[in-house]
Amino acid sequence: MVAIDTVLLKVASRCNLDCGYCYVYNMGDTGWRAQPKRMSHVVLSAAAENLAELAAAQRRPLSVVLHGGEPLLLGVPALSDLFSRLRSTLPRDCDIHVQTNGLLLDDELIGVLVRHQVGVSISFDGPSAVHDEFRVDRRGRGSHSRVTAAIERLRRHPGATTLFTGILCVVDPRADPAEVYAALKATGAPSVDFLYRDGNRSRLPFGKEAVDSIEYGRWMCGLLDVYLSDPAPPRARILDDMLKLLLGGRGEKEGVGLTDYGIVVIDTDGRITKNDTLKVAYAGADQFVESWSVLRNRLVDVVNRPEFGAYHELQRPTAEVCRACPDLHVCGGGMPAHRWQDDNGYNNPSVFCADQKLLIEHMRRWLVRARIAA
Amino acid sequence: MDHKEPPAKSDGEHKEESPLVSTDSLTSAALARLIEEVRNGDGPVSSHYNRSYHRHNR
Repeated sequence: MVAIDTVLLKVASRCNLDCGYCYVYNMGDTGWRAQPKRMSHVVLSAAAENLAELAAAQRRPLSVVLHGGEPLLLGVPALSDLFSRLRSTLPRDCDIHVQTNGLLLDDELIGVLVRHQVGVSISFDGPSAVHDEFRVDRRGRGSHSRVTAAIERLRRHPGATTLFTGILCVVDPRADPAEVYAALKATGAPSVDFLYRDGNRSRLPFGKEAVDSIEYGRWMCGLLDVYLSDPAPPRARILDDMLKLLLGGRGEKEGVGLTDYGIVVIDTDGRITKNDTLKVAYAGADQFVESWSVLRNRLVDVVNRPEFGAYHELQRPTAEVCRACPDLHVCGGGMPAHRWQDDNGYNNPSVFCADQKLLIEHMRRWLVRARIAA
Repeated sequence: MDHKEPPAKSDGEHKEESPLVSTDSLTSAALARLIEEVRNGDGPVSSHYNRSYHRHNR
C-alpha cells in the first residue's frame, strides 16, 4: 500500500487573484473550467470519511491541505463545517492546513482557523515591485498591500501566532535575493520556502534562457549566502532540506532527496487525481485514466491500484544521467513535471538540473569552509 | 549576480574531526541549527508534517 502523507483538498476551483505564473490557470491546463466553483457539502462529507478511513488503514498520520484556487473562497460557514468534520473524524495527529493568498483572511476567518487549529501558509513574493508584477487581481491590481495587511492581522491575533506557519515565495530570478529574503523575514513567518517558476524542458520556465542555463541556480546561491549569514534566520525549507541531505540527514519536501512521498489530490467535484503540479508537464497530466471519485471509490482501495502505483513511481527519476549522478541523493531528480519533454516524456533530468548542481556545489563550499564534510 | 565566498574558518576554530563539527564554532546560525537537528536524529522524515513540512511543493 502506498503511504499517503499529504492530501490536497481543492475546496474551491477558482481564485480571486490571477497570478501570471499560476500552474493551475495560466499554464495551458483548463481542467478547472469543468469544476464546480466550490466543493459541495456532499463531496466534503465523502472526502472527510475517505480521509479518516485512509489514515486509520495506513496507521500513519497525514496532512490535509486546503488548496485551490483560493481555498478561503469556500466561505466561513462551509469551512467551519469542514474543519469540524475533519477534526471529529481524523486521528488527532493529523494536521490541517490552508495554503492561501491571504486576501480573505479577516478576523472572523482567523477565529475559525484558531478554533480548529488550522495552520496557515501565505503566498507572498517579497518586495512590492516583485510581488505585484505577477500576483495581481482580475483588474490587474497588485495584491502586495492587501497581503501584508492580512499577514499583520494574522500576527496580531493572539490565538493565531502559532498557526502562522509559513510563507511561500515564487522566485523571480531577476530580483535581488537579499531584498526578497529581507521582505519575507520581515513578515515574522517562522518558515519561508522558495519555489522555482514552473516550466519544463519543452516550455522553459520564466527567466531561463536554455535548459542548461543557471539563472535560478545563481539566484539561489545568492539567497544561500544571505541565509547562512543571517544571525537570526527563519527556517528556509528548500535550503534546509538540501543542506540536511548533504549533512547526512533527510529532506522532507517533494522534489529534493530520495525519501518516498505520497501525495494525492481530491478535486472540487470529488475526483481523485495525481499531484496537481503535473499540470506543468501538459494539460491533463494530473488525471488518472480511471475516473476515481470520493463519491464512488474509497481512497484506501485507490492507493492500492496499479495505476496509482505507477503514478507514485513517477517521483523516481529514470534518466540514466540522473541515476548515475553523485548529487542525486540531494536533488532527487527534481519534480517530475520539470523533467517533462514533449518527445520523450519524463525520462530526462530536470529543466533545473544545472541550477541545482550549481546550488549544491555552493552548499558544499560552505560546508567545506566550515570544516564539515559533505 | 555574483554570490560571495563562504567565510573561511581558522584552524583554531576547528574543534572536531567529525563530519558534524561542534556548532559552537560555526558562524552560521542556520547551519548550526541544521547540524544540531541532524545530530539529534531529526533527519528522518517524521510521521506527519506541519504546514512548513508537508510534502507538497506548492
